[in-house]
Formats: sequence, structure tokens, C-alpha cells
Amino acid sequence: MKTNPESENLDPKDVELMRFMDGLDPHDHPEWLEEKAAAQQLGQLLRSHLPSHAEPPSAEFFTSQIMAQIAPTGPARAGVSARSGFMDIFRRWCAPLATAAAVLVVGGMVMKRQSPGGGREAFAYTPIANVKATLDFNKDAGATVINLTGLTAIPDAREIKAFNVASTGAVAPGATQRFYAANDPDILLFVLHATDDGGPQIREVH
Amino acid sequence: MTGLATTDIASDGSTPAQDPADAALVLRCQAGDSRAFEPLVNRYRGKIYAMIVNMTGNDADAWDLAQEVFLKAWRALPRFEARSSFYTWIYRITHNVTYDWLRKKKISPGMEFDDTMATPDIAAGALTVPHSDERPDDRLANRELGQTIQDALKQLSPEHRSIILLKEIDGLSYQEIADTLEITLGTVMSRLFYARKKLQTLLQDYAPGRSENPQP
Repeated sequence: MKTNPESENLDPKDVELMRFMDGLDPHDHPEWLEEKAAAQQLGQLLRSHLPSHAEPPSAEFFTSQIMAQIAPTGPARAGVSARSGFMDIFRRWCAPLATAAAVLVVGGMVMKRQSPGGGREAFAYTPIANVKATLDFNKDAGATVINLTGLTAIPDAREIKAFNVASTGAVAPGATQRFYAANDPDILLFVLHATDDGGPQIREVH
Repeated sequence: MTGLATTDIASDGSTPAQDPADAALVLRCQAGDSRAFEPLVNRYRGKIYAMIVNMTGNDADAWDLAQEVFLKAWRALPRFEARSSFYTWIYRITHNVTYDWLRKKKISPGMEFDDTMATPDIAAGALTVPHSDERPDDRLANRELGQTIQDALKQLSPEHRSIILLKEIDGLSYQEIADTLEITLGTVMSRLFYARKKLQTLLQDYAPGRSENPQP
């Protein structure tokens, strides 16, 4: 690859030729008409075989992916509000993880078809061989649905806790934050804090 | 030196360089309104995706690279000072993203060719698409020629490839190319000169021209 601009200097005559070929020189140059025609023929050949505009596959999904990733991270967003909900906090902590997961899941579109719901359905790459992902934009719901099949079932014995968490005051991203019961602000439910490598970790208290 | 007249590049045929809609959307984005970014994505995704496909010859990676372009543009918007048009600016980001990808992939002449380009997935509303209403033998010949063109493009350096695509496919003026690639007008002209000569040599059966001394 050339990096030395000196090697790209053109002879002044070739500069004139270029300006003539690209219609920037109003003067007649009969001696260059053949070259101009050849350049135009080359341009036409390229334009007839290369698209100047082509929508990406699953174009609506393409846009929705971008919007989903930028929503929590406004470029000139005002400061965090004084009281923020759990989901806001969750998004702030987990945005990088969610982004990575989205990139993994939507690594490569391989085919698409009409879905039963009337939208377009696309298959996507998943990092686990026996897990298949289909992406379906459901027009009625106005949402993109990701269907994962082949995942290991969650054991019935697994206990899933749900808390009615109170809103808590805003803290700086990555700082330790405490969550209290909505009906009793004296009951500390769990603490969200950063691990040594900066990742989020929840420590249950109640 | 003055460039060619500003060219239409948007899918709706308007002239983005003079369209205040882009500037207004950019201002809203810079104020933190992420919803204002959606129409910009919808407007330019077809141009950006096509440019990346033409540069890389790879449909699958083009999707991800186009995503990366828009995400980088969003993150860089606070620093966008509107000294250039939005489309020139996002073309520059596209060039940088694609150039970095090509460098990491280390694609060199003849090393790699993705035959998915032989059957590109072109949207129904595409402004420029290969003909599809031709006889089978013509279609086969057309497809082979398309592959020959892709092979020839891959033998150009990324710098020469991008400049000939910006000029011949996207119809940018010398000045717009200079702004996009952040190079001088002289460099634009010399790169275009040698890129044309080399392509004319590689495609001499289809687009003959003077091809002596094709590379400096």
C-alpha cells in the first residue's frame, strides 16, 4: 500500500486530462476524446453491475437494532435524574453486556421468510450450535421478537425470587447501590456493586 | 479548483448536502433525542450498506459493518460541527470502518473472494440493480461479468477502490471525495487516474482504454 503522497503526483498534462474526462474543462481536446469515452465506458460498466443503493437484509430490524443500542446512551444526554427506577439502573449496568449479546445473536443473517404473523422472519447466528434463533418483526405488536429454541430447560426446583423494589436515589455509574422494599424502606433487599473487573454483581441481603 | 455540481445521493432523490432536514435531525440528536437518529439511519442505510458491500465484496460482514458505522456516528455526533455535510461525514466514517476491517482481514489481491457477491441481496427499491428480466444465458454472462468486476476491484488497493467507487458509483465530486477521505484534491485526481488505468487494464475486454503505465 502506498503511503508516500509524492509517489501519487500527477503530470500536469494528466491533471488536464482528468479535468477534461470528468467534465471540468470546458475547452475542446480532440486528442483526448477517445480516452474520455473509455473512462465513461468504464464508469458505465461499473454502474451497471454495482449497486449505489441496496437496503440491508431485514432493513427494519437493522434500524431497530441501532435504536435499541443507542437508546440508553444519548450523546448529549442530561445528567441522571435524582430518582431513578430499577430498570434505568439495570440498563446502565448491563448495557455493555446487552450490546455484546446482541452482536453475538445477530452475527449473520442467513435467510429470511414470511412469518405466520405477517412480518418477515430471519434466522440468525447463535454461538451455541444446537440453539436456533429466529427474528420476527410482528407488525401487530410493532415489535421484533427473538425466538430461541434448543435452550436447556430451567429446572422446576430452581427458586426464582421477585421483589417489589423501591426507587432509590441516583448514584454514579459503577458505584454501590442499595435497594429497599417498596412497602418498607427499612428492609434492605439487595446490594448492587462492582466486581474487581468492573462487572455488576448483586448481593442478596433479605 | 471547483468540484462537480453536488450530486443527489439519497434514496428519495433529494440533495442531502442542501437539505436542512439532516441538519435539524443532527441538532436534535446532539440534544440527546435518540429518536431523531432513526430517520437518518433509514435514509442512509441503503447507501452505506451498498458502499460497504462494494468495498468488501461480502454481504454478511457488510450488515455488521453498517451497524458499526451508525453506532460510531451516534457516538461521534457530539463532535460533529457541521463543517461538512452529514452524508460526507458519515461516508468518512464508513470509509474508516471498512478500511480498518479490510486491514484486519488482510485482504490482498487474489487471496479471497466471497461468491455471495454473485447473487447480491438487492432491495426491491434499490436505485441501481442488476437486470433481472433477461434471458438465462444473458443473465449468466451478466453474473460472470459482475464477478469479473468484483475480482478486478479486489486487485486495487483499498484507497484506489474507495475512490473509484465514490466517483463512479456514488457520483461524488472531487471536492466531496476530498472531504470524505480527508485528502487533497491532487491526491483525489491522482488516485482516480491510476485506479481507472488499472481497472481498464484488468477489464480491457469490457472497457478498453489506454492502459500503459497503470501504476506509479
